[in-house]
Amino acid sequence: MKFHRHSLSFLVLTAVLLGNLLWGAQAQAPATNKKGTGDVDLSKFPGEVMEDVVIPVPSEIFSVLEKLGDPDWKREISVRVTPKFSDRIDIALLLGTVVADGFLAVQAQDSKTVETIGRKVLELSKALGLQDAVLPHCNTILDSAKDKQWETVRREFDATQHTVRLTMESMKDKALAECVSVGGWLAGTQVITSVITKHYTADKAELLNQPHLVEYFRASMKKAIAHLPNSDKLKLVSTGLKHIQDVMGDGSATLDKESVEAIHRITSELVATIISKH
Amino acid sequence: MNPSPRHTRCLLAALFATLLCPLHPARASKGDAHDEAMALAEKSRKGFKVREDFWSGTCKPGEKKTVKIQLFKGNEYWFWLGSDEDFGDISFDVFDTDGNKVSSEATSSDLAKGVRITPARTGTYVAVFTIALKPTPPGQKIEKPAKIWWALAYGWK
Repeated sequence: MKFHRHSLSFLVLTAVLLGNLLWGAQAQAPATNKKGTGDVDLSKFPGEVMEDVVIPVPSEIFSVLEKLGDPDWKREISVRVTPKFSDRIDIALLLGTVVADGFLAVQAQDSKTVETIGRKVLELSKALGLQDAVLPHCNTILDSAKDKQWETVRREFDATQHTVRLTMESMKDKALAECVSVGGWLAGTQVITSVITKHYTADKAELLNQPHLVEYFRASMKKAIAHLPNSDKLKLVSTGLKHIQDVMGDGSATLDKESVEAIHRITSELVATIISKH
Repeated sequence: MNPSPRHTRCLLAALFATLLCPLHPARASKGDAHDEAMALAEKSRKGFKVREDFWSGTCKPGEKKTVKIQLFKGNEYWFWLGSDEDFGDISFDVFDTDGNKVSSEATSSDLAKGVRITPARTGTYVAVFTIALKPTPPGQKIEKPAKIWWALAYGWK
């Protein structure tokens, strides 16, 4: 009996220690030690890089374009007819473009399009197994669009991205989460370049000074391809991002109209690739 | 002495409870850190659209962290950094890629700090922060945390 008691104490003590160790290890998990990308010299900022780039939402750029002119946002809306995908990568890329379309529809204050997009977001989230997490956002989007509560709708599209990212990461699907981000950035940039080329100014073109963001997306696509080497779509996106980066240069010079048009062409082709079966 | 079954059950229950709460501080989560950032944001967010998305993680006391951010000329930004450490002392600024400080106006609470930025150009910027521990008041004994949760949120207009 004495032996039994000691064994029990030993087991419990071991379990407590293991529990603490595991807890500590989990808490440190998000941290990664990396060098920076592009020509940002992170040695000037000694520390640990937690997240390469905080990815902006299209609304941040729309907001500047509004100040620099009066874009016709409704003219930029194109409700895309998309086939049904079964591949999760295809769905994630498409979900990103659809959410970006949502931000545009909010900017254009187009209730009907917002409702269509809200339903599409739900359909794609369901296909990715994220229905439970995303449903509350979609319901709010649909209700608020009817009431023309545009700030609430914008917040909910933003919250949808957050929920999708966190849920996918918790499911160890970081590659899919990155696909959503890349799809969103490409669709957003397609719209932004379209607006800029219509009434080009250097101030507007400066908004495309995002080489580190493109570098970040290229790195994330490279990782995704390493996991999914048979995805032709990922390879096309990765190649397209390289072309965009070549046009953007190192960000030291403002892009001329031809360069903006070139980025518009590339992003349009990539979005067309994302929404097509082949 | 042979332990009674009741004795063994009590011992097991106590140890099981210990297992469930392995030295967790009373309040320690990214949710708490984000709540603190948002509570501070309430004081300065007027006119700003606040991102629902936020970035978070843990750091050791005094450890420097950096996060790269893309900012657009023409917008103004507030960045808010929250922590879950009652005795944390937050240092937080934003720099351009040449290492020049670009964050100006600041606001703070016990558990959060906010900085305002009006970027002179569109491009990449770097948020740099540390959460050190305040000196322990004389006569008080405070258990130093091994790690501190932080959360970074922002808004623009």
